[in-house]
Amino acid sequence: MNKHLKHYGLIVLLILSGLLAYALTGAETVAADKAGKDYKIGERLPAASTSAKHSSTSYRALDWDELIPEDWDPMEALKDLDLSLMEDSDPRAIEALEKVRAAWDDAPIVQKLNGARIEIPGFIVPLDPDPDRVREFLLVPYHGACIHVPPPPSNQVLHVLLPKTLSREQQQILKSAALMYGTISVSGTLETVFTDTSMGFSGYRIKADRVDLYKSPENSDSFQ
Amino acid sequence: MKPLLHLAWCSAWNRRSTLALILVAIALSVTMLLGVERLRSEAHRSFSLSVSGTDLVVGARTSPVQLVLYAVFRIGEATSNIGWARVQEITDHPLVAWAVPVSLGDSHHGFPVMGTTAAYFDHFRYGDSTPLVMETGGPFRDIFEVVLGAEVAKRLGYRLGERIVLSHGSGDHGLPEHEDKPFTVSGILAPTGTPVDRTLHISLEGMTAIHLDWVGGVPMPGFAIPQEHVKKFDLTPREVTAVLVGLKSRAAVFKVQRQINEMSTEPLLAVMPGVALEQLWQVVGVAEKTLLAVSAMVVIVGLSGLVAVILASLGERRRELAILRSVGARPRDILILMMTESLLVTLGGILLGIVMLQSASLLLAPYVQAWYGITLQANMLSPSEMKLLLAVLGVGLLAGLVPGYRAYRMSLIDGLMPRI
Amino acid sequence: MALAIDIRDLRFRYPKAGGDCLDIETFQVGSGERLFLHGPSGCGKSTLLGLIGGVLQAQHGKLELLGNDIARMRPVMRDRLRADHVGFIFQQFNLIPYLSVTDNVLLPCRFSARRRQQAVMGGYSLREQAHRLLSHLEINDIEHVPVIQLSVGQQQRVAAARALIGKPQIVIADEPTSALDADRQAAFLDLLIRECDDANATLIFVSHDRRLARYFHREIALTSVNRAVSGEVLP
Repeated sequence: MNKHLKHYGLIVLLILSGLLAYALTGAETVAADKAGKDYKIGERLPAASTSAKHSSTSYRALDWDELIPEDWDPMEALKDLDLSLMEDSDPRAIEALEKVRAAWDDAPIVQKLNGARIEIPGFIVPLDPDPDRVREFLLVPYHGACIHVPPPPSNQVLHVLLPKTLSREQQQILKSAALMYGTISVSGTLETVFTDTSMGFSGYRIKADRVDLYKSPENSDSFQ
Repeated sequence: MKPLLHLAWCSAWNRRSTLALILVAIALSVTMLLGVERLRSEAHRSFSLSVSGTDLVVGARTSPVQLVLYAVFRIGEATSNIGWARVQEITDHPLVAWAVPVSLGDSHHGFPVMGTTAAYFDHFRYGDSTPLVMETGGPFRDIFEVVLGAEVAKRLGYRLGERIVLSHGSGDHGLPEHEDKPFTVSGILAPTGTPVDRTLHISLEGMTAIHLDWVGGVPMPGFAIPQEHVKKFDLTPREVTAVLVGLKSRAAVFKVQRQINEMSTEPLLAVMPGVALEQLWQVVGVAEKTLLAVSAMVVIVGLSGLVAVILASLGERRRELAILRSVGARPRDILILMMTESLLVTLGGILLGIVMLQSASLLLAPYVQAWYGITLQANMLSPSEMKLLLAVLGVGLLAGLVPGYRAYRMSLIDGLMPRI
Repeated sequence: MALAIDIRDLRFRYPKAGGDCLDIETFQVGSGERLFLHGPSGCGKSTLLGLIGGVLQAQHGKLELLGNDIARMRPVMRDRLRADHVGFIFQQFNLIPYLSVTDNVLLPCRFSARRRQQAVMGGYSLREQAHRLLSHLEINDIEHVPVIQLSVGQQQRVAAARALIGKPQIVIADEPTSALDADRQAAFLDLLIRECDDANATLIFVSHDRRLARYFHREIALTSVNRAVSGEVLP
């Protein structure tokens, strides 16, 4: 019996060691994938989350819908069309979709939000590829923007500017979130921005004070 | 514990000729494991640092990853170019702050040649918004002047004012050359640790000039335009490989991207470099993990060899274990003794592996930099490398349990009188 | 206490054995006594030494070592007792091949604090004490000789030094002279007995050579003490 024990024990031990080694080497990348994989493409974060660290005492939890003026309807061009009456590749449908897309690019902003101190969760779209020195990024409401699905209208894109010096904790949070389209919660001052050119462009900017890992309201350990 | 450590050391030293072989095997596997990890993270780091502050890269409609790889990292080939008129349109776009066209295709001793405007040296940023700095000299002013990246100048030993001849196409040798139109080095860039270092930069007009009398990739026989006459011709390029674009408002990137992508005059692709790199990492991620897993298995194989060697030696050590028990060693001490021996060899293998890794890094760094633009740093071990080493040590410790447990059982059964 | 070893009604059998290997009604060794134990092979000598050394545990009976009943003790305690109070000499291959002569002698001091303290009591360092003991046993200037190059006689004397360092109360010698030639045997025995006397140690000497019995206070045939039939089964 002893001899068999030795042989089986050896094999089991070697397999366990292999798994251990692989687990340890893969742990980092697995953890990195997991946060991104938790979300389906196009999925949005549950509304009105509050971060565990500091509740809405100094920052107001902002919902993405609040960034859209109430009277704006980008789908207007499509409203009058009855798609069931058209043939394939009907130029009217194509043209209408063009109008919708163009409308998305020039979406109006809510001016009175300028200067509001808000906190909002979203998905990161990186502007520069260096994950160690993130200075700014774009925040969008849903997962997969510009890789798998079209980008959101311009009033649903937040240009986040980070403070010049960041604590190590903040750097860690950014590094782990920026790597894989992670979710992040940004707290700071919202500003409305106009670009003074012949083709006007208006959008939102956040001068961020801090970032936090996003915690969904149902289960606070969404990152396990 | 200390007497056991001394015993384990003396025992291992006594059998050093056998154990040395295993130690070297473990060392090689550790070098491979760490090497794979180091290359991976250095490649990631190098790529991430290579471009900064560029909002869009615009080129012909290929895949986003391919475009960025070629235009920014000079890796791969361009399938097609974009017309000069498009460059004008992009530059004139109201939301575009700056646009720098780049043209690739030629080479010099294996280093890529890039045609661009002088604005490239003003607008291009890398790392943490670091601008390009001239070590000596300045950007090209004349048509036949070239600015060298730091690595090019160092490897080929060029200095300011030297005249060099460019080759057509990319590749190491056997390429047709533009011998009649040599270029003078007007400036040498300071090292950046990015693909800029291995690039030669000429003006777009220069690029057009050397191809004036070429058709379809070869010089026309009997039709040569001497260097001094090129200025009589229109040297505006007809097409370029890509355009690097910076916007007035970074948040407008989606809008401009869509407009460029949907330009009906010519199929264009506008790519955000950060996004494209993320896609690249996802694609190679599988290969990376596989490589790492293979390396881990090699380490396991090395440690299995260690286990086998120690196990095989147990038969002739029964007398020795009985003596140890007679002077008061417990079976548990015997177990720890075996595990310590195993751990010592594993530790030795790890240390030798680190030494070999650092030596290899130092030796190969210049070549890797020259060929791939990746900077290998042979300094302290990174946290991820330390984690790997700890894992190897842990597995070595576990592996020591196998002969340890066997010896433990043996000494329990044998007591003071082993069956020899 | 007057008794170094006190055995009462001891019964021991190996696992899966058909019958008892040892069945001893009474067996006592006085403190400082020199005992000659003999018997044919297979009569349970090794087993008895294993029991006294604490590496084997009897299923029944009492075995007191210097007043401690080790038959009831946990293995950890038995190992410690052996380390602190008992020195062993075997027939051959006594030494650890990858340790120096001095390190071999000092082995018990590494596993027992008591023996280490006893060894340095005269104000000597451990190494000095080892060399003193070796020179008493007529071994000088061979510290740097690798152990495997020593003659058998030298090896046995080094083993004796190891058994004696740190003044253990009991020394058990299992056929230590059987590998030596005749003229060396007497010399070895002389040295061993002298050192044991000096240290007031109890010496249990196992051998099949009855001629050596005259050096000892008492002579016992194990077969007369062991009631177990020779149908003992060793595993």
